[in-house]
Amino acid sequence: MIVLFLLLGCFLGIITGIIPGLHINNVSLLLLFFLPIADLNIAVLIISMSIMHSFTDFIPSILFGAPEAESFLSILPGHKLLLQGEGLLAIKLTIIGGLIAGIIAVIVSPIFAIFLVQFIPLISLLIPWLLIIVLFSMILSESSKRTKTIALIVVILSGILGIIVLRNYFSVQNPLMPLITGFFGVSAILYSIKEKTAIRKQKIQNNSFQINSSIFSSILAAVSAGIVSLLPSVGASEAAFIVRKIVGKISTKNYLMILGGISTANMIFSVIVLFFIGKTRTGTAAVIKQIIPLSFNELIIIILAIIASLGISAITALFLAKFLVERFHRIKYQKINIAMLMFIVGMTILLSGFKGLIVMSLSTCVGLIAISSHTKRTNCMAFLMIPTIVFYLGI
Amino acid sequence: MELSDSTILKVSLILSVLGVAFLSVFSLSLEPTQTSIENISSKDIGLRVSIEAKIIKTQLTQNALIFWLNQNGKTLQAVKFNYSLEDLQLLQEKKQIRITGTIQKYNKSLEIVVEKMERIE
Repeated sequence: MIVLFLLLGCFLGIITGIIPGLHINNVSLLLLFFLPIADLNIAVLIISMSIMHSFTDFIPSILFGAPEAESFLSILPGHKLLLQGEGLLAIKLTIIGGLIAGIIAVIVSPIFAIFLVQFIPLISLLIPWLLIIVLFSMILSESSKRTKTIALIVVILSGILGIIVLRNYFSVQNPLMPLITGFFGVSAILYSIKEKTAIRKQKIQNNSFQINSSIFSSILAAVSAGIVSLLPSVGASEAAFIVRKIVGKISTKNYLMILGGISTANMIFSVIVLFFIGKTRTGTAAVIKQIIPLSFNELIIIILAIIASLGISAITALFLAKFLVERFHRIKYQKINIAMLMFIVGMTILLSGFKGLIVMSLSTCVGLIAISSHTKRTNCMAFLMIPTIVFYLGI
Repeated sequence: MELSDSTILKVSLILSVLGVAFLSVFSLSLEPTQTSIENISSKDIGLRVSIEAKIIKTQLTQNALIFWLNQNGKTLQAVKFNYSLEDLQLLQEKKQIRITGTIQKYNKSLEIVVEKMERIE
């Protein structure tokens, strides 16, 4: 019986992953609302759905530029590889990262949870200063005085917009969605339509990856995910971004592995850590806490479900990505862009209302400033970083 | 050393098969034993059981719901910690219910610590 729920969860995870804007937290809450009995079977369903989602949500991000909260940073390196005909490789890299970091997370999370919880006050003290250094380094890394000035403007505008929306001065439902889609999705799609970007035929081939660099990236991802799973207000994407800035020269390929790894490992850590210290950070873990007792037997079931889901998700995501990429060049990219634009606008209105549309329009404008001035679009990350700094400084 | 597509598939396949196999076996071992109040004795302490019985009396404390079950004239005390509003409603109906929980000894008597309680339609 429990295996059926596991497979059903994986199936739902494919749907939530490939449809941009459909978030697992919303689906989990809907399940709790409609199902008469919430028990261990439902917990397994929610976990397998979340793990599958963490693998498949990179597919629309990389192929269609449709961003989601956990994967939006993959649009930038993913799109770079897509333009080179390496879209499938980009997705494979996130899958490898997810798989290896997921295995590491299962093995080390109990020790990590007990050990790391001692250092949380110290890490919480360091976080705002680390983010401030990263923000300044982002601006200073621009090549000319002109781009440095524009980067500063983009950081300030993004930060102000982030504070206004995320601190509810302008209350919007699902506030992350319109912000992310504007900064990283709609702005890039509009620019792509204007530039008439053409996507070359994608390479469908077997790839080989260096084991050492794959494991190194996955360890970085797992460690970051472990920290993120205990810290409020710091998300998976922010963690990947901070890691890239701290470690320095990380190749596009390794960065994609880290992004994939953090997304999956964060989900696993948050659920397993819940059993050890009773704290939750993700929506999935919060739902699990509501429906099952946090006892040893349940923990074993949850860990086994995570292991099975990791394997099933990696295989499914590999085949799904290959299936879509093989057919990708048959559709005109301009048509995909227009369809995706309409879909994103529709989902934003549906999930965040017309207020969300206003937020999306504003963040799109800021994103367009960055793209058209050839400054790095990651400067828009200030929309998350500045509210996090403000939160940790207690302002 | 390099990691090829086929290695990734093999690792994923092994994880899937092992995960599903152990999950099936372990979840079966966790299935509660269907029993009756009459058959419960001291040797069942720590056993996870499922019982269908009628609620005859309830008592509400700050931390727990305490209630008494009757089945063919035999009674058993049950306790539910972290109870919900639905649990309270279910008890007020005083109808036939199915409970799953673990047998334990409290004040020299056997009782069941309830995990799940549901209405029998």
